[in-house]
Amino acid sequence: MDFLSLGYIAFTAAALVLYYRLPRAHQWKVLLVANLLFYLLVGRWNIAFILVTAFSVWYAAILLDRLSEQFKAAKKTAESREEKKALKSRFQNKKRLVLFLALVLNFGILAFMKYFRVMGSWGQGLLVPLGISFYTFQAASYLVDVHGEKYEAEKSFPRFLLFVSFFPQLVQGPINRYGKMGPQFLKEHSWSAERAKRAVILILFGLMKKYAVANMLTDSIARIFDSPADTIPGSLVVCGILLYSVQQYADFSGGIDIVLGVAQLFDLEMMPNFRQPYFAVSLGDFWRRWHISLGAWMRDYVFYPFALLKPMQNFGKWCSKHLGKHFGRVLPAGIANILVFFLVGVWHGAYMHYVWWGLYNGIVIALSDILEPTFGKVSELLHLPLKSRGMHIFRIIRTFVIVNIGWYFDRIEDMGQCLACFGRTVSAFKPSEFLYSFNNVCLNPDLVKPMYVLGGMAIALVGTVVIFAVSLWKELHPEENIHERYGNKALTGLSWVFLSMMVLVSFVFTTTTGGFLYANF
Amino acid sequence: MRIFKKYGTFLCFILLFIILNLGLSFALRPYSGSGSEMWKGFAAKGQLDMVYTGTSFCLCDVDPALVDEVTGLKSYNMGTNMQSIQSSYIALKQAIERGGITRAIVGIDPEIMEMGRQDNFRAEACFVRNLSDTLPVSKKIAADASFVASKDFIGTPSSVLYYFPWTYDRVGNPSLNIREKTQGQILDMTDHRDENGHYGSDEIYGEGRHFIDLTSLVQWNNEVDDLYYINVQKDNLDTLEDMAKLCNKENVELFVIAFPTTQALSVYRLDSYQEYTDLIRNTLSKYGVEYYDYNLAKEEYVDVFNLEIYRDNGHLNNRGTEQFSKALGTMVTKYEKGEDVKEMFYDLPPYEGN
Repeated sequence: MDFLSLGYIAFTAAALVLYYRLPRAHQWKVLLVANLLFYLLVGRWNIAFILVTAFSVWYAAILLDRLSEQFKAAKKTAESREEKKALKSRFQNKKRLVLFLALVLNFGILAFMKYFRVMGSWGQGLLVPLGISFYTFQAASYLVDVHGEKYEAEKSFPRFLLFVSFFPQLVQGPINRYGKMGPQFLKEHSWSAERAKRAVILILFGLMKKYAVANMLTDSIARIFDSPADTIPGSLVVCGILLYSVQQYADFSGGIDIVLGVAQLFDLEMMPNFRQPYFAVSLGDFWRRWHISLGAWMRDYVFYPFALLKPMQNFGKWCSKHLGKHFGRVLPAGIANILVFFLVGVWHGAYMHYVWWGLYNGIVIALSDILEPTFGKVSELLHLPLKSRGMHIFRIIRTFVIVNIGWYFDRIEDMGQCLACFGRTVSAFKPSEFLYSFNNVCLNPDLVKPMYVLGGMAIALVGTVVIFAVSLWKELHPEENIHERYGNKALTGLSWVFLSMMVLVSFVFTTTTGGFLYANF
Repeated sequence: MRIFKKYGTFLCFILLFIILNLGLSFALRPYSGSGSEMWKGFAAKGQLDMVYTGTSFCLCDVDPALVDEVTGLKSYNMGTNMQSIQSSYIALKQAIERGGITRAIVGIDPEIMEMGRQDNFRAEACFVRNLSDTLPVSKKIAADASFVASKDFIGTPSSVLYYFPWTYDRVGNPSLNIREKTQGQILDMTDHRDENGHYGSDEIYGEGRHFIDLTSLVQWNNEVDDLYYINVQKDNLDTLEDMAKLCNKENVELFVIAFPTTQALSVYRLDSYQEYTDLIRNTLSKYGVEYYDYNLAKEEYVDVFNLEIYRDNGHLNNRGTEQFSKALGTMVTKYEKGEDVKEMFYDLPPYEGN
């Protein structure tokens, strides 16, 4: 079900009315019923998967809590230090076994539905359950946190199910943490017109990003990369990659804006997933601004646990001893980063080009950590003004280029074609051929009406300028809230009208909502 | 006054939004679009004996006046561009309820039977919206609701866009459209249908096109590797069956046909085309309905393989329309006299696949 659909709007509106009309003690129940109903509406059999995950994780967490309590009680009766140590080891092993089994079950289901079905011949014809990546990661984070005694297990299965199945986040995330969301679900919520206004602007902004920017560029990008690499100049390839960088951000962050906005309507605050990523000053910084919830999840549940493993710690010590303190720190971290980004690549899909994209990011981050002292010495030698605005802008542009190189792997599925596109970029840029090639590939009247493509690009350009302006303001005023600064009635109303019209006008230039481009049906 | 003070700004922006939409609708929605002309013409015709439904093939190939000369009936062409089988069902239902028809000729082809409604949103939405614009308020609301709440569209942007028709029903020449609307008349008669719903043309198809006839069909299939395999959507087949049921229930004589084109036999694999034909026939035979493929019509009825009766690679010109429309009249007349209609057609040559 699309966000921009009568079904989704009516469903959300009905849920909101019941949510705020019924006694506040029942609000979480309304939300739970809405979640399950949503799941039934988008595909009945999906609900079986989410119930299996929710129940297995909830029950495993209960068991972990019980084991913790049993350990505390048994510890009191232990007499010697050795006995206490042995008791601790025994209970830790039991807890680890419970954690391991629950994670293997749920990640196993995820792996089967998302990966092995694609690679093997089992389960062909089965659809991937909606949101399985997001809710599996979300449930896993909860279980690991309970294992680490960060908080107690949720005793009520319906309340836990509410956390796992919250319907707005199922399609695109973010991956929320129980510590932040759980208490919010149980609070009492009252309607606020001011909050609703902000939420609507956020939703409309997200829709504008998705439909008026991302969707307008999709076809042109596809035409560029569907062309054999040896038939197009490198300048067109670069153009395609730049368009893709805009499309990716607009599509993904637009979807997240809508999700955050819908959650806000229910008076629920979710973790932000984007923070002006193209203003990042390094690739590491980029990944702290792009898909923040996934990055944070990987940091907390893969990077740190892996880096703190005994073998890795020993490796770090060995590096410190033989290669110096710097390498003792960065080499284990580098390996952990490469692992993290390998998993990030795999998370995106069961195709090699995602793996290469993940590895590229991990290797670049690892290398930049390793070479940091060298860069520092070179900067000193050249007397570079590291804190100047010019240097800051240079870093932003440099990072943007590095990120866009990564997009080659992400967008171009075939490795041969990807390498050929790299080759064209470097050795056959041919800027003089750009316009001719662009005309031939993207504006070919045999394939599409040029007027629609150009109109769509004009809309996308306007949308991109707006996104850039808002992002720049947020980057320059990180502590301020844009609504508080510019949220007067007139501007709010104008924003609503402008954003709505941008979305509607974009559909005038959409060529995919009806077979032929006849003006006259 | 208190309400206006509280919600005044909000109301102003709603008004601004409405004005912008009305302005865009005025500029972009056609003064007299094809679908709009069809429904207005249908309403103006009053009581009818027979209608024809289908895509642009129907619109271009069937001249009701010529059919009526043979049959003595009063008929109307309800064909529209990219009309889906679901839209044909809507047209048929309207023709039964409002036109009082006793006969219907429904045109289908493999492309329509394969097509998903969501992929054809613009044509679907235009069809229903143009119908809805001719209905009284309560029926208009029902027609709109049946579209936006249908399982094909309720979860897609189409269900919202439907209420902003200028986003999907738009002209290519806004300035001409604005002039036509301000002057209240059609200024360019190209692409407009006549009072019977037919859109004719004297153009003749260009030279040099490869054309397969029945004698070379098997060899063509043996020589060419990449012919298309037809994959009929279940929803479309169900709708076709619903049409047959509806006609049975309302005592309407239903004829399901395929319009003649230059390429039906050359684009699809012959064994697949045979399977498709058998599937359609078997589905309809349960309701005593016949299927007639005019790509197989005998020369004395329609000179199907003569390029000069076509205006392009799919649609008949006026000369072809004359032959075809008379053939349709003959088909109806023969059927009602209890004569053998199948003798008007050849059989597909047998083919087991390559």
